[in-house]
Amino acid sequence: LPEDRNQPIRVKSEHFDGNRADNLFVYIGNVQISQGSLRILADRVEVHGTAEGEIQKVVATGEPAHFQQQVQQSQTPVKAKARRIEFRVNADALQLSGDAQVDRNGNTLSAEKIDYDLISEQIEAQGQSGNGRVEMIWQPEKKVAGQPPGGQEGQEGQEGGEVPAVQNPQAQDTP
Amino acid sequence: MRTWLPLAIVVALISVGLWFSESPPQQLLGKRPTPKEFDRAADLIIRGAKTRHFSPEGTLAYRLDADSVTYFQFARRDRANLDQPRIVFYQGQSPRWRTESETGVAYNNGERVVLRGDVNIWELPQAGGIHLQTAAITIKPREEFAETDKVVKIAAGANRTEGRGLRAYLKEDRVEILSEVQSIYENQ
Repeated sequence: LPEDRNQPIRVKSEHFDGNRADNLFVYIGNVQISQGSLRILADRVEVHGTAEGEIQKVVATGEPAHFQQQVQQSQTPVKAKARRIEFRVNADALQLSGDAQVDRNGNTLSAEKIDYDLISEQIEAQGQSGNGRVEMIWQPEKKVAGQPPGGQEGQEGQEGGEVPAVQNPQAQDTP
Repeated sequence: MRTWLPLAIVVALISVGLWFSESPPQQLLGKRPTPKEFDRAADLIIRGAKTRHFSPEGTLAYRLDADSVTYFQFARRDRANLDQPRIVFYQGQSPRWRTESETGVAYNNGERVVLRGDVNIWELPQAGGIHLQTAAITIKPREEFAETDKVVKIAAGANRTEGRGLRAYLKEDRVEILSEVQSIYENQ
């Protein structure tokens, strides 16, 4: 949520190793991070800060590491997982690499590497080098309650137009 | 009945001898103060103490003020019991850490200092430095190392971290917390 970034970031883990000379704080073992609706679960998390104690980026690794955040109030949270998740705090951007997957309302995108801008919801995915491919799975549009099953007229009454083969607001998001 | 008595005595003597040679009690060899020595009168008691301790190189290592210092000198060791100790540790020429606690014990000319009871440690200069709180901590000034198995709370500006068990490598400016870690990074 937009106000997530104004919330404190809370981290829990089994072990902590903080090196102030490098402004690098490493959390190891069942690491849980939360900031408002944002959640990260991982085996190991590096918190890269500034000398003033502000967090610049968070790098989570795991088998896999998990990320979840509610982007808009009305929607279910965006879920992501990968072997490595880099969250750039100020840019509100995610970079997932290593069996990466993003799940949004049941629609999934799987690739070797995914860059996800949480503000514009712009997603860029790359398969593995060589012939690696990107895979997207859209869930069929759910029927509106009270609508006669399969009737053409019924469907036309929906927003008064011919219903296209695929109608999914997310489609426009993908470059 | 009488025939095996001498044999039993011999066996007993041998086993006592073996036990003594195998595991000589430390205090018999003067390595560790015997209980009797431990409780004997102090060699020195200083009230309202203000002491300065220097490194082998001649630089000021730490300043120790305390309501009282009770000092015991043993064969090869010494111990100073500290009441309300307030210590400032130096790194090079500048003061780097300031401690306050209810009690403390300094061993072997301050080679190891154990602080107990509402221990507070401030990094200097205090503005922008960290503040550590715990129930007890062991500090080795010359190694610039500190450790505890107690719960610790560390505040660094608005950010706070706590956990159980700590090792601090002061020269490397590095801290390890060994379990039950919880951090809060406030939004700046």
